[in-house]
Amino acid sequence: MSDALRRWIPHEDWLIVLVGSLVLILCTQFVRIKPAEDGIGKGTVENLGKGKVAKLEQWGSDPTDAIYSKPGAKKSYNQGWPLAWTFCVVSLIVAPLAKYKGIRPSEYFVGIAVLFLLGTLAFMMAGQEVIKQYNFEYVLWALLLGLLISNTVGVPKFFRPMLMGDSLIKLGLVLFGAEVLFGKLVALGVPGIFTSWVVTPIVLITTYWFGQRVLKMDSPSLNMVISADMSVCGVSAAIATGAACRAKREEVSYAIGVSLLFTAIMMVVQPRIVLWTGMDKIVGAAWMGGTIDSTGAVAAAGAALGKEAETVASAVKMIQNVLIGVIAFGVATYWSMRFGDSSGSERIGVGEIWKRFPKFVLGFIGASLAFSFLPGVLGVPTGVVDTVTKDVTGPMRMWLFCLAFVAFGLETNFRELGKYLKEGKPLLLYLIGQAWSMLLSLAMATLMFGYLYADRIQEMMKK
Amino acid sequence: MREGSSQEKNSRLSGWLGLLLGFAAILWVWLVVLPGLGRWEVVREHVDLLDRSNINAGAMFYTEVENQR
Repeated sequence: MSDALRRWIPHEDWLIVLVGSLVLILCTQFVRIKPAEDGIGKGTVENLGKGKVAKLEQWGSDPTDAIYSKPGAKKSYNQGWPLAWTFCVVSLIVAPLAKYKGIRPSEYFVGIAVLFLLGTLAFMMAGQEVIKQYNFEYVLWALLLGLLISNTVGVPKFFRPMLMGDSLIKLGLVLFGAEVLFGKLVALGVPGIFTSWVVTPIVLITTYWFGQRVLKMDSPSLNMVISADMSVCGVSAAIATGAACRAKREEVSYAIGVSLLFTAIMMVVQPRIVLWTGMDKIVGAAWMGGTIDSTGAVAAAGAALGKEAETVASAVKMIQNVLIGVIAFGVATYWSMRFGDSSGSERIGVGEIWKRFPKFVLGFIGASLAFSFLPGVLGVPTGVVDTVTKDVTGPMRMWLFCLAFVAFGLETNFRELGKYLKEGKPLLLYLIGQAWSMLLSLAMATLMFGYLYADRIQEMMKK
Repeated sequence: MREGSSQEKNSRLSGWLGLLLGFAAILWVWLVVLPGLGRWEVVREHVDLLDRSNINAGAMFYTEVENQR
């Protein structure tokens, strides 16, 4: 049957786009729009899929708190059924990809169960309150668990076909597209767009150029992944651009590790710099929103300066988040033009660019455009997109990324990863790029939030 | 031949031992070190502030930040 599937769908990426699109369409079918009782108000949006995909809870000293609440707890929950349900759904949506690769059903079900078990463990590790609130995300622990197993007892032969991290990442990215909503761009108006959409591409392009021309980094893809995760939005940008430029799994893992480490430091240090220097808190918040890699860490750093700062910092980051779609598309196109199978830089035609272009990126962009604009065209309330992406497709995408990183860890050798740790250039690139990003963002935040639009932002905050 | 098989056995044993030690280290860090760190005043303040504000600092994207819908 896998041969028949290959005849119908000649490239795996198209199958991923098909499966991802079907999942997204299906997820919208769980939403019910109830009209207002008086017939005048907005009505309510109910999502029957809400709570079905497991989201493990935060815990302090008892890891079982991640799964179920104890009597007398502030919040009552039990993630047992959602975990079982998530396992079934993930197994079902990944099955066509396994079939395409010719994996036997018995190997698949054992393999996906092991990946899911390790993924659950990674989510539990990431849910420990100190780990979680210092932004050490689940992908790091998924990778660590995989690395630990593959570098001690190794991976059994029958399990090897299940190490399909690239396919899981691509499928996760198609679902992720639905969360990249262009409507979020207007959250702060012109100052937000300038701070996020002008500074970020400048930092990305100059850092990439610096890595290639000045530092003369051997791997352009590692150069690009570091530039993107440092300038756009950390882990998610590293994953998206890494897939778009076909970076090695060790390169993406390295970039994510460095980013998470420095994010944990910056989220604590940057608010203190704002306070010590007596910088205007709104300017400082916009600055942090533009420079701290990870979205959650930006909200946390903003909260340290107060509610208004948290709102501004989060909004700047959210606008920057939307840029991820454009960046992934741009990187995929550039890579298709510049680097073929032979990594040459010969002049090529449109046909060749199309052949090299990673097709899953079209699914990612298509989902982003559809979820950004179709609701407006069809007159669907905005709450529908919010609940579909936050309560169903978002958590499902997290599971796919988590399983992908477990698989990456399981096929990575410590020695291969160690090469990047020993080499100083990638770290130097990150540090110089981050310093450059902080400088440019500060200048733009001061100009936009401190001078040109200061009054308008103050008015917006009062509302 | 016998030497080769004994070497293989030893390497397998050291592999399992490494895995066991790795998991033991993870358990120690997550069940002892991190909860201890969580009781440290500076860390506790940070965690409590974010819990009160309903912020998930581990969020990868804005859709994972609870209060940013």
